[in-house]
Amino acid sequence: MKIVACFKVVRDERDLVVAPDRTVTLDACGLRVGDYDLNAIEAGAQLAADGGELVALTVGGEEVRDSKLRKGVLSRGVSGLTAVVDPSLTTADAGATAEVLAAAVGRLDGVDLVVCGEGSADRYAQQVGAQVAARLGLPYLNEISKIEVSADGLVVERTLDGVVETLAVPLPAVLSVTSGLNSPRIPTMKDILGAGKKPATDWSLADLGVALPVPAAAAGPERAPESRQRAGAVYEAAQQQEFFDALRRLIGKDAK
Amino acid sequence: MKAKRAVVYGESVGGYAELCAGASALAEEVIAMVVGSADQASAVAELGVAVRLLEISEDVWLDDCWPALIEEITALQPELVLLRAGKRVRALAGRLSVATGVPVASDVASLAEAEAGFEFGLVRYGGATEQASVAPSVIAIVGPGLFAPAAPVGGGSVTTIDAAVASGPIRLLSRAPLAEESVDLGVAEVVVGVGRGIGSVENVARAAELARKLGGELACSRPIAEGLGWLPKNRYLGVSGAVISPKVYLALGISGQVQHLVGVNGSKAIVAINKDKNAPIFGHCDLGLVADLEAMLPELLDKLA
Repeated sequence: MKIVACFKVVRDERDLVVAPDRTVTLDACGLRVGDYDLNAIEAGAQLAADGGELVALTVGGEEVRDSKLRKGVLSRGVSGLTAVVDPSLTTADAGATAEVLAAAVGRLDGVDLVVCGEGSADRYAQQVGAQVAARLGLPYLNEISKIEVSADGLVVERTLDGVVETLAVPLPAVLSVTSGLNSPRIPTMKDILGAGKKPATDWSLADLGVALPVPAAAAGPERAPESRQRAGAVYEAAQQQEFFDALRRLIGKDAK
Repeated sequence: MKAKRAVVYGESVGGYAELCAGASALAEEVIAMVVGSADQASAVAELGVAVRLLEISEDVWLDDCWPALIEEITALQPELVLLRAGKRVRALAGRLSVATGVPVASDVASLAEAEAGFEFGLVRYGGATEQASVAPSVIAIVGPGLFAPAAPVGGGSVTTIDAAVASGPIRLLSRAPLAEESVDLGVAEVVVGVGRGIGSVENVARAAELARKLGGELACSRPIAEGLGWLPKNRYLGVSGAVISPKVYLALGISGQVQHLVGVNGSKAIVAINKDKNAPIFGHCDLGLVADLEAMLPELLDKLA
């Protein structure tokens, strides 16, 4: 089985800098692979363990060339890594990302299964998997919480709002998996040493014959949310009587 | 300028009142798509909108209806599509977006008419940042609470969509109700939230007792539901979980990560107890106590009961 697991390189928002006008700068933030994408890579790695091939695929700007980050991905049971790199892709929305990913999957040729995470760590629009499938004309399911290989494809469990479906999916197909599907592996020293020997390929948009995606919506500046002013009366344990009096007033007056 | 036409769709009848209210404010004509029974269509028509019904029996797999539904929506050429947030609906949205070339705005924080279409607010990094975008046309996924529900005024209509629903390549083998108690955190006036600092399953049970005594609901942070599995997933607050606005939110052992705060920022009062005096939650609360919950939970039960 030839599998592609999609991942996104995002900024680590814990280090973002907020200006007085609430605009944010993410330049100082480190890079990381989205948490949910690690579930997609792990799902692919487990399916590929019995003689399959797993390509980790990403699209983005220069950030996706980060060597440490690549090594981290390559140490997670993948056969190789492919990146589509263009400066415009750093801020690509779900539609543009899906367009480029679909073209890359087509170019990889003979792909049986594309696995995506439940959502990206920055936008979390939960759209890319569905749109890649629609562009490729492939069957698609989201919220996959269990995957088994069957004689003629896959049998999966899909956990929705209030119902669990068991479905037979023919290949090729695209799946978006939940974070509960698996626990991403912690790479061993052997995995990390082996990662350096695995192939990484970079493509440009021109290599794929894809025009620069035009954003479907004009986006304004990214800002920090307006924070609501709160009273902030914090007591130490020794003053717990005052705390309890205040809490009783809050609950008694407002809630009962 | 007000848009000409909006189409709304939700998986269950309950979501339409809010969608129809929002759509009516933003477009001159509102068409509600219903996939299900004639009874469901009539219930939605009570909201005073034109309903188009794709009638199916209960044994039909809903995803098999998407091609017919998408064809119907595409032919109407609406400037605005409002979809009630739901897991299945997200897959529909992506497919509809590729079919129409209209972008999807997932879980919009705001939605209003703009000079050239619509302006919608989206959050990034689980609420750490937000961004406003403008597009001439949009497919918006709308969670509960964005629009106040429309009152049933009657006078709507139901027309049936004449389309065949055929099985696609994916086959539904079986389905089972999710063994998860239903909980509506959104309506509780008091919500007790537990985070990693709660320390033990025994303390979670004490927090549950406290919530019960206060006539409220128990909720948690994502790690409690997903990492530790101490509470079901429908009880976690914040990004991809529930968003609440109770009168009092009592945060027990919650550190106050932005991903959690985005779910509770609407609370009238936030009260926090945490043994770490540097926990970010203390910067976002109305009332706080720096204390160990092991000792404080019995006190809470005693003094607030």
